[in-house]
Amino acid sequence: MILHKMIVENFRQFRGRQEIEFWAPSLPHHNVTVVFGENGRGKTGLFRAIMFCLFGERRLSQDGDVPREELQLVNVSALEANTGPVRTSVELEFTHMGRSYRLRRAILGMQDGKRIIEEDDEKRLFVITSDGNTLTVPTIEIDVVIDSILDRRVKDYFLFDGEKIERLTRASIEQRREISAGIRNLLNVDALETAIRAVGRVSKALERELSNSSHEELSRLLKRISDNEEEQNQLRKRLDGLADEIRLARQEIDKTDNELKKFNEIRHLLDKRKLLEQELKDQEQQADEALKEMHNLVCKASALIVSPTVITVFEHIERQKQKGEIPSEIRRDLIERILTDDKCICGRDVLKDPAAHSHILDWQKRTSDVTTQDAALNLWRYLSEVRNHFGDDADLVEKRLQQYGNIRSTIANINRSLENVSNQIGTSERQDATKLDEHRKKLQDGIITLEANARNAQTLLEQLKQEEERLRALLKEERLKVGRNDELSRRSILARDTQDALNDVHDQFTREIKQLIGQSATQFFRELLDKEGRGNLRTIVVNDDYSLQVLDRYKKPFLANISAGQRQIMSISFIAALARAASRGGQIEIPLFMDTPFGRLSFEHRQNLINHIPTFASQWILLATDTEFRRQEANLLKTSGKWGKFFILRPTHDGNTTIEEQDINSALAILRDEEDY
Amino acid sequence: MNDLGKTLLPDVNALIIEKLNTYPADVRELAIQAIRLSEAYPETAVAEQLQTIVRKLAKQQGGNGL
Repeated sequence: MILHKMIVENFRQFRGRQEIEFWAPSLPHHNVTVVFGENGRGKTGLFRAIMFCLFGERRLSQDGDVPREELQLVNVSALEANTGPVRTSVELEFTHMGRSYRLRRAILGMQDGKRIIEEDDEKRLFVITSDGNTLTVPTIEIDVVIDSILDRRVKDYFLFDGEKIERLTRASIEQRREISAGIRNLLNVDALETAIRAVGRVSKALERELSNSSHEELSRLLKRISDNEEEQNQLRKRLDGLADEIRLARQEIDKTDNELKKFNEIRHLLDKRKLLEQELKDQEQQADEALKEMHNLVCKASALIVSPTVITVFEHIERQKQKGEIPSEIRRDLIERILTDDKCICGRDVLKDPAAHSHILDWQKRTSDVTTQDAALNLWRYLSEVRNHFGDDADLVEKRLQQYGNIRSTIANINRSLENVSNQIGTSERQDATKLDEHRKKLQDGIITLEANARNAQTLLEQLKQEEERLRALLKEERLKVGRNDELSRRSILARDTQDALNDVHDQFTREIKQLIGQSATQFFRELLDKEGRGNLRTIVVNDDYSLQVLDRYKKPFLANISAGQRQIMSISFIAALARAASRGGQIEIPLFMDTPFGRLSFEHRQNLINHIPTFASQWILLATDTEFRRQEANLLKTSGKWGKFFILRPTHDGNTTIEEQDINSALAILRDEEDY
Repeated sequence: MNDLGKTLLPDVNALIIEKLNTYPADVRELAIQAIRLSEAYPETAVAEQLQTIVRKLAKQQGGNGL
């Protein structure tokens, strides 16, 4: 999809009819549009207009729990100036796979006392054929056509707030869910998922029938499996509920923070607390990773417990080796033959020489049999190898323990600072601020408990899954015993095997897509990172649990150590990889919208985004403020030869916004330099 | 190289069916029918139609002396 033009009428801040052209036919390769404006001027409103026109949606994912009455689309001043209803509409012109489309959606806004009512008014889609004819798509089919162009389930990935997008790299249940949903939506395996559930129903029904059969063991196993599945379902519901509760608590904390910011005297403390909390999260993540590494060391570390015994045994054999007892200078079987024959190998009669005889007896005592000698030598070799590793392993374990100890002590320090800052906020002279802060603390404590509950539920779920696997193996054996001659049993086996096969195929797909997205994200990451980051950061991995990880040059997890800017670049790389996959691996035929794109980024990162995004996305629309889009960035964009359109959102005397197109050459005169700030 | 490039093509179900090649004939047959039905019908309707197919396939199995 390439957006060409949007016409808005009485939509949010935009009073009257205004238009914005994202693409000029005369400059087809200039695929970057910059919409420039201060906060609150309506940059996000433009994206809202697109989402409303395409999908009829009034709420964006970033709106959180903003009440519906604050999300009205109709322009309020137009409504106040009119006695009757006001028509609010958005019209979009776009092309997709060589076809042109015009989509229009309108609502009517009405004042009802203090309330504003909005009613759907019009939804029309026209397709312009190559011979210039215009076809009208039946209303009932419009959503299907639009979904086939841009699936509504993945749309949220293509508009993002640059400063908040780094959340994708935070290892929380909600993020894992978000990434998992993005990947699942992208898989587009709806039919497969329906098939799995339908075969599951059949299988369950057959198992119920079988459990009523006369085979006692079979019935018992089926009952246990059914109970296990029920418990798993309950736990999954509980995990979903917990994730929702955590999300809501976080939203409530953000809301409380905004309320608290109204108290100027504690504003700096709030900022400090936010930073400390972020730092704490990073350190906790680092501690988790260190723990995981230590977990992997458990095997090696356990050998260290027996190191004194190993060394004692090794040294004992070594001493015997030194003395020539192992291997003995003369083989035991040879000595025994001499004593039996009473003849030395030189032909002498050994019994005639008592000194020589006693010498031979001495040898016999000192030598052991060949098998024992070989075993001792093998043991010596093995222990020698093991002993060599002790040093390295001990160093590694000690290093990791020390690292973990340091992280824990940093966490303790942060916690102390946090407590200190929170106390200062809590003792604010303003009673209302103190109350708000107490409320926040309760929420924070609640999140800790919820997260612990979620971790426990997850562990329990894993245990139940293992138990189910074990029971299913037993069931399979039992069903074979009952015999394939029993038709009911045959049907049940077939349904269950088919369900397993479909689940396997689904898992294969998920694994493959995770791998592909990881590879693709890594490629983008390496292009977008600055020199320093490229030197150390190597690979983005989508973990089994759908969390994102970045590996350093030693293939070690490094996510906890990267900066906020690097996290933003990592999230953008992940989104670009999703978009590429959604575009069937070619150029991303989805417009990428970035709100506050450069806020946290270093100049080198900005430079890389400007150089690379226009080459892999079919269209890049930047919604930027004056503090992040300056003459430097504009110069880079101009040099890239991809910048096509430039719009400024200007305030009007009545508090609305007008969209004003500017020539990109004049942008440099309008924008400011970094030094001006 | 995995075959993900292909999975993202519109006919993703063709690839799923290809992946089912490694399974026994009756399992494959039932899985394919389930996917085809799922393209057109909701879950409950698919499950109902599958009951008949399962019965037929299980009978055939019995007839083959399995």
